[in-house]
Amino acid sequence: MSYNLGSLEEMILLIVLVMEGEAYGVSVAEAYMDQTGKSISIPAIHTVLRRLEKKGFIASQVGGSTTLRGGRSKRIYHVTKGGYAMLKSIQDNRNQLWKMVPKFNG
Amino acid sequence: MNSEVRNPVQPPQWADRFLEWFCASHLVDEIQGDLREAFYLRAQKTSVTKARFLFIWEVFKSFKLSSMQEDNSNSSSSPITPMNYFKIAYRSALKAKLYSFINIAGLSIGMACTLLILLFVINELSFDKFHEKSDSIYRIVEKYTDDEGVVFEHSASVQWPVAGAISADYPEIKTVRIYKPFRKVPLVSKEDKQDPFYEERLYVTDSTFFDIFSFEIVRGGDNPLEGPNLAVLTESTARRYFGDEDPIGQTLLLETTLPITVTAITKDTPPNSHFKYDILVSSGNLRDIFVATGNRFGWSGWYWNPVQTYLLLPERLSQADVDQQLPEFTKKYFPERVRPDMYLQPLTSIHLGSHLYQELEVNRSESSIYIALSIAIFILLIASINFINLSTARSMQRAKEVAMRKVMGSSRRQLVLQFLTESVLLSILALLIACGLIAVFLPSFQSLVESVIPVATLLTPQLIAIILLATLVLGMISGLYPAISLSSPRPASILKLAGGSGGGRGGSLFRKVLVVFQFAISIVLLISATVVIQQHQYLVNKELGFDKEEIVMIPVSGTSVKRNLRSFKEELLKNSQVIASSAVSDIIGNDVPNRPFGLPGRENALDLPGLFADFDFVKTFGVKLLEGRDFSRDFGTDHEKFLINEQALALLDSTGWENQNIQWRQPRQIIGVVEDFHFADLRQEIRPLVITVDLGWTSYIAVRVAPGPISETITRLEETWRLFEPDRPFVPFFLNERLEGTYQSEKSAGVMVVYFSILAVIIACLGLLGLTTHSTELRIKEIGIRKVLGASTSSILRLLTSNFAVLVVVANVIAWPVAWYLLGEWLQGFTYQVNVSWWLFVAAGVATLLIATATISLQSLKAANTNPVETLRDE
Repeated sequence: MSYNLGSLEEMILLIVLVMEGEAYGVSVAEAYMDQTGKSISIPAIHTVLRRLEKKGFIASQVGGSTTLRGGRSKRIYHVTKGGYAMLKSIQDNRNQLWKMVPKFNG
Repeated sequence: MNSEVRNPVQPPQWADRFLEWFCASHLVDEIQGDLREAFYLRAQKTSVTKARFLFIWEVFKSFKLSSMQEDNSNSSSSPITPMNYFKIAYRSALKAKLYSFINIAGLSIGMACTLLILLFVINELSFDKFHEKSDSIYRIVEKYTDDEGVVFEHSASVQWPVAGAISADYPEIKTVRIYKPFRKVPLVSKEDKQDPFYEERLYVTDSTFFDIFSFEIVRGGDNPLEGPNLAVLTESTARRYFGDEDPIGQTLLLETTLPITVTAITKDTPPNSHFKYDILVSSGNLRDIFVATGNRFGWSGWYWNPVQTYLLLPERLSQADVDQQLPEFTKKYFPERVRPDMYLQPLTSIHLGSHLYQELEVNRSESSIYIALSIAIFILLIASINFINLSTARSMQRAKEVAMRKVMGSSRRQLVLQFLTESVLLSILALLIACGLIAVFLPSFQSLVESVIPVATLLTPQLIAIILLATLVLGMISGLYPAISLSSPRPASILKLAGGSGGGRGGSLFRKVLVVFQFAISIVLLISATVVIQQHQYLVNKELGFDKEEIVMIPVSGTSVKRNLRSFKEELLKNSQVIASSAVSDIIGNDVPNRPFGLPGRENALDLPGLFADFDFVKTFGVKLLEGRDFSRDFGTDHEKFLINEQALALLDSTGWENQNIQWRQPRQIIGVVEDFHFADLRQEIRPLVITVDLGWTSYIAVRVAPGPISETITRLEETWRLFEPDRPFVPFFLNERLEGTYQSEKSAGVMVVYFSILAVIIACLGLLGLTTHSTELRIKEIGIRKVLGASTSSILRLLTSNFAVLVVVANVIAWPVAWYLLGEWLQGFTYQVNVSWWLFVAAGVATLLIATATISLQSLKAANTNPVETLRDE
């Protein structure tokens, strides 16, 4: 796992992990906006998902479709073991660092 | 796709389609789906305009290489390649052999019929278009109308001087005359007089012939017809006379007397020319030709009209311009008593539009083209309906397969593609088989429609492209319904469907309607076929008022027999088989042309059908004599008397016929009245007819022979012929056979409709067979249970057949009025019509019902007889 993760990529990866089983373009975009308050375009999400999939952090399969999608099926993403390990190691690193941070008073 | 979503709010179509177009197939679902979903969510939350704007914006943001690259890695997303579609199509075709067979057989028969008819029609429409100047060539024709407005002669040929007079008055119009030797098939031989041939297609024509028509000269110089007694032969005619010798410069003898020199050879006349020649003889010395061919009228100025005359108009003149000038023209040249109305016919309209007196060849009626085309369309419809019906029926059985595919993540696009590939492949296969069928059946089809169809020249790249395209479209249309209904986005509902009994209610209604439609068409065709045949039979068998059986006709024009008619007749009567004989000028029952006769009480001569006959006319033809007597040699002056028919009697004033005279050369007394008989074909009503003796007009000798072994009699007749005319072949024909030939076009139309209606019924039944097989298979368990509970075989049979039988009955009810109307229209074209009886309709209905029931029973019986153990075991 020598890949680096950009901050957007990390954020999206986290969202996919949280939304386990229901993560696809639109839902991820909405979750992103809910969480960060920033807007993002669907193609941008697609690009990030594609990149994450290529790096092996997430995998996908074709899912159901809805009338809103005009018969087009969704592509549902889920985090791979590698992806989970990556997130976990980032989180562990951060936790360790956080532990060393002097506490503010006030 | 968009038909699914009928929201009032829709993303911009063009952007949506653009996206679909550029997107790689494995990404399109995700990208397009996501964008659409986002669009609808945004449209709800904010405004439609904004959502639209964002949609477009995002479509363009997605327009990048990574969205377009197809996925070649064998990932889990979409492993379907075109090869895969073919493989699955092949497997599913093999898996259901009966369906595939029925589908392909029906479709290929249908396609073969349609293509054959299409080729025929294209060929008919192409007549005379091969001439370079075909658009500026016209034929001038004339029409004679009497004082009461009745047209009594409408002729494709005009008088000899017409062409010359037109050229003199309008120098920029080129003219050509074509003369078919009058009532005479000329005998042509080489100089040694060995192996002569009667040349039916010998025409006398002007040197301008090749300036106007574009028949291809392969050997010989320019202006091959410039000069007297020259001849142009077609390649095969030249071979017939000279074999491998060089024909140019050789001499042929016309009627064993007139030497003509071969100056050029042309390709054989194309089959799509409205007249076809074997030999063209130059008109440079008409007198010699008239003498040789026994034309005793010669030139005859502005009276006699035996020549077809064609005009080549210069660009600045239109047909209407010339038509406008013609009244003035006729006024200037024609004597008042024989002044016709003249008009022009475009060359290319002759073959399908002109049915005048003196046509060079029998032309085809326009209606036969429409009939052929509608048959083609009907058959193709029936075959395509089979295809659609069977595919939808079968796809219901494949619903499980479809559902499975969906569950495994197959996209709608893939499923649609799968079904379309299958139906397109089937239709292409059917096209190939159809081509094979056409190759096999072309010769019989050609003899059926009596025309040569040059397939190789008709199959232009455009036509081939159209046929291929039509096949593709046919495949697509046939595959579309099952593709769309099955790939609908809910796998669960499809699965339920597959478990159900008869497929979707809507689908089965759709199929039923199509089956009714198919059978309605078949029934209309069947009824039409029967009526057309009946009409032909009626025309052939109708009482004509004379006895056409056992009459041998011997053509005598230009032979020594004609010069010794009376002694020839004496000689004939020595034969005990000969009952009577009479010279005649025309083939009775075919046509008798008009000639001018002076009737009592009328100042001007009246143009009436006038027959020239001889003693024993009434006896020979078995005409019924109402009053008076037959021409007889016992009365010395009978060669100067008249017989008339009832219609002619009605023309006389009330004093009756006795002691009245009719003027022909001199006044001739009327000696009797015969009952009206059909001296012309049955397309015409019986008109007034006058009959007199004038041996100079004799064209045939009609011999009534005793019933019995005919070949012996013919040999005896030939012996007598040899005594008078040792040089010329004896070529008699039977009057009844010749008259049946008159109605050949009705016959060939009838036979064509018969064949194709049988094919239509076969194709429809094939479809029905497929459908019943399908529905029985679906109900096989139900049948098993019914049997276990004690149902009899016959009750199960009834259960299975009644459904489809009802459809055939409904089809009948629809077909009858349609057939009634169409046939009424068709029969309007005949003067004498057969009665269309109601039982015919019932018979057609019963016949189709029986055939259909038999077809259905094939399958149902099998199902009804199956041991229920077999069908229920696996549960």
